[in-house]
Amino acid sequence: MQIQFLYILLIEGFGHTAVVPDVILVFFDFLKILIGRAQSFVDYIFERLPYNVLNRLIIYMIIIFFIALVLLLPSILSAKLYISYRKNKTALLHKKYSQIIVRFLIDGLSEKELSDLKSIKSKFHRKVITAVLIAIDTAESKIVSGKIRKLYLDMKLNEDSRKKLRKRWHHKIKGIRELSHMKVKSDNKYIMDFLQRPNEILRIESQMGLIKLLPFVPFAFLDSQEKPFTVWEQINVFDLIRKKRIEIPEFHLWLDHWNDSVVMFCLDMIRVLKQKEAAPKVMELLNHDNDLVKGKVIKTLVDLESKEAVTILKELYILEELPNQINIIRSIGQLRLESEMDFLVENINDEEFKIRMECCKSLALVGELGVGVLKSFFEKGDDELKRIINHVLDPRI
Amino acid sequence: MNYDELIRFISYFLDRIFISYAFLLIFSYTLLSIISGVSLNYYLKKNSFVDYNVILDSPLAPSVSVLVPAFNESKTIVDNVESIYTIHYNNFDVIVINDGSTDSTFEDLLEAFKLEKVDFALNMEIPTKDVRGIYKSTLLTYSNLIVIDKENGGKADALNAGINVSGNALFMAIDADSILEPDAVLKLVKPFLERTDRRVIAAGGVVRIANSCMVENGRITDVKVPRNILARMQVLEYTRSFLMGRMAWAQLDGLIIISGAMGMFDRDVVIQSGGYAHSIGEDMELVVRMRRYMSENREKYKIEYVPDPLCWTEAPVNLKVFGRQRSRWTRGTIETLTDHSKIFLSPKYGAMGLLGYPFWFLFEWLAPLVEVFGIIYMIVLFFTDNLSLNFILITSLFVYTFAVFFSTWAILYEELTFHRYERKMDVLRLWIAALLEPFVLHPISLFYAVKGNIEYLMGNRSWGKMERKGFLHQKDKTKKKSLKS
Repeated sequence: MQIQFLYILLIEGFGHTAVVPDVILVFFDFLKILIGRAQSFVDYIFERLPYNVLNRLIIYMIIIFFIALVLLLPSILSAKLYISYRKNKTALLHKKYSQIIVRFLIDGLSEKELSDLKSIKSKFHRKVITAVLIAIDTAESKIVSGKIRKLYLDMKLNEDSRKKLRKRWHHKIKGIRELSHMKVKSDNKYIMDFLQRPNEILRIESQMGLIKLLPFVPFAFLDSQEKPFTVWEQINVFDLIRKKRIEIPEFHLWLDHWNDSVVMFCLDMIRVLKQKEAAPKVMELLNHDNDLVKGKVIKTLVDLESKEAVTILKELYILEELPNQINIIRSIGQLRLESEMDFLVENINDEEFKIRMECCKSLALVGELGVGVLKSFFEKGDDELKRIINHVLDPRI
Repeated sequence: MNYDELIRFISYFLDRIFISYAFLLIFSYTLLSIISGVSLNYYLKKNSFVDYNVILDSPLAPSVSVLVPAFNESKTIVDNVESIYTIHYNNFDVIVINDGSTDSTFEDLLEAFKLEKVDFALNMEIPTKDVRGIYKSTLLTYSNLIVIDKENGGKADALNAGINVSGNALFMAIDADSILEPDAVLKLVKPFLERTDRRVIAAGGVVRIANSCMVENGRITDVKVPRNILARMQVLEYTRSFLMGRMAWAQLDGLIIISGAMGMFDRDVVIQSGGYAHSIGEDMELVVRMRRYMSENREKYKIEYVPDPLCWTEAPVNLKVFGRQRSRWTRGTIETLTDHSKIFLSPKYGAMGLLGYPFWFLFEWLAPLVEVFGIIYMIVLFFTDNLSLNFILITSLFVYTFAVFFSTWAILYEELTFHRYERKMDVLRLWIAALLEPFVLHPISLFYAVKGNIEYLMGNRSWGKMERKGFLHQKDKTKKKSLKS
């Protein structure tokens, strides 16, 4: 009915004009015939079926599925064509603008070329230009960075990036990436607002953005970190520290943070970056409530080669759960302290296989003296201990 | 009540049961597909900002053990182990478990990787069949390769032996004949790194069908729709299941299966839950048991799902092998569901008890039985003049249009997301397969699903022999061409 009504409207609308769009009329004629046929088919079916709700429902659902199917097919085709068109178009534009920008960096562009570039209005083209600028800047030396940044600002691409901060989350991320790469600091306060968002990707990007944008206080975001600082976030931040040569702070400053995930990140950073001066502060955390934090503390102390910690670790041993007991034994082994062999020998006959294995491994790490002790235990030990000692002394494992 | 009245009374109820069931099934599938669409859209946007390479050289990245159970895989085992070494990950070891093969699987490994027996002290955290020996490669490239030679005990037992040997917090279980995408480990590890207050206990990814795809140096180099019609229709089945079903279940926190072909697990939780059970559907059973363990211990957890195609496997093209596989899947489902019947509609188990389990019970286990019973019922009604031919025809048309529509929807998702089939003709081929599937694959699957039910009742708990044709390698193609010329 609606189609027919639209059809009449169109006829009336175009009827008194000189040029009637024949194609539209033919199309509507065809559609009318099609609907008429479908209607008569449905009527035909209904006549042959007893009248009830179920039959009607089934027929209508068949029609719905059929229409949906008819709509899905062109959607698949257009999706395929659109994706490949977009891919090709992006590649072409990328190539075109890469050549122009490289020429701009090497020889410079004429006034006309530069004004043509600046007058580009198409959002798609501007997006590609931004991507090209960032890609070239990442690949090239720092010498061209200033020129690239100037072009980015001259073309007012920063306005485009800024607008993205007010759109949906994935646009926000693109905006943060562009602004932070080009060191545009005017929107830092917006980016800071994203730090506590539930969307973890947006959170990570704002952390990374702020690290790049605030070179003197890159880790200020840790102060207000409310959400768990996941290992994934930590990996990304650490990667940025390494690649961008960010000024590394003293991570022990956050060791008393109320958020355990921040504490664990700082412990990892202290360990990996060998911030030995942090050892006393790290040792204070040996009585932390969280076992996972405590495990990291033990590992950190070992990697910092903090021999002073051994006495406390030994005292803690009995109070700890199995994973941390293993950590303690392992750490003593890694420190290769001959003086602590007695402690390892004491626990070599523990009921727990993992403790025995770790004691033997640690003894082997101590050196010849430890190996000698292991050999003497091999003579008198039980079968399990003999197997463990064989395992530990096998250089191929 | 006379006989006619009794028949009418029964018929009245059966009509309503079948109709409600059909509409509920269509509604559930449609709802799941919509949820999947939303989740896929979010995942793709999210993933476009992810640089997986940051994991590669990070000291914070976890170590992973790749477990490969092998039973009579002599034809492919060496190639497959070599292919594992093409994955992009730094901290990993490979543990191949020779599960008492009767062919030369072990000897081939021994020779190819120059294995040497080592004095490995095994901590039997999960009991397994006797381990004859543990071997390590003497080749520098394969220095992280461990081969366990043990008595035959089935796939679950082999995996348990691998878990006992593994010293890493995470392990990835894969089939010996699977081909991994190079970034499979990176993508599966990431959910574990994103853990917040809920412990990630397992992560699964999408398994794709590799029949007719070109394989070179252990990698899929050219993705094609299978030439064999049975395999082609299974592509549609897998796409529907992995892209539309499991994605939604992961979103609803009701996922109860991670494919046995590839999945990553938290080793501690697996051990605490008792390891793999000696079950026919060991993959599903393990996930259900791990979830039960976490719920019963009131620990917060989640199971993650990565919708990227991460693993390629060979689909059976032989009707007999296909039948064995389907019958096994059905028996595995029944076994897991009956063993864990306590979960059914229990709020204690969260979305698994209230959504996942009931769905699997109603629409995975019972669906083929209801369908067969429904068909018989319609035939009886037709021959007793209680049902018109027209009604049968429109009902069949209704089911057919829904089936084709649903498969087409899955093809659209594939095109909008990962579009791995780049040739336009491949998409057309898939769609033609969607038109034919209700007449070809569906009746066959239905037959074997019912057979699986009967076999389960008869006490058949065997795995069944799986024969593989092997992947299409570049060198095979060149050889074929030269023979032709």
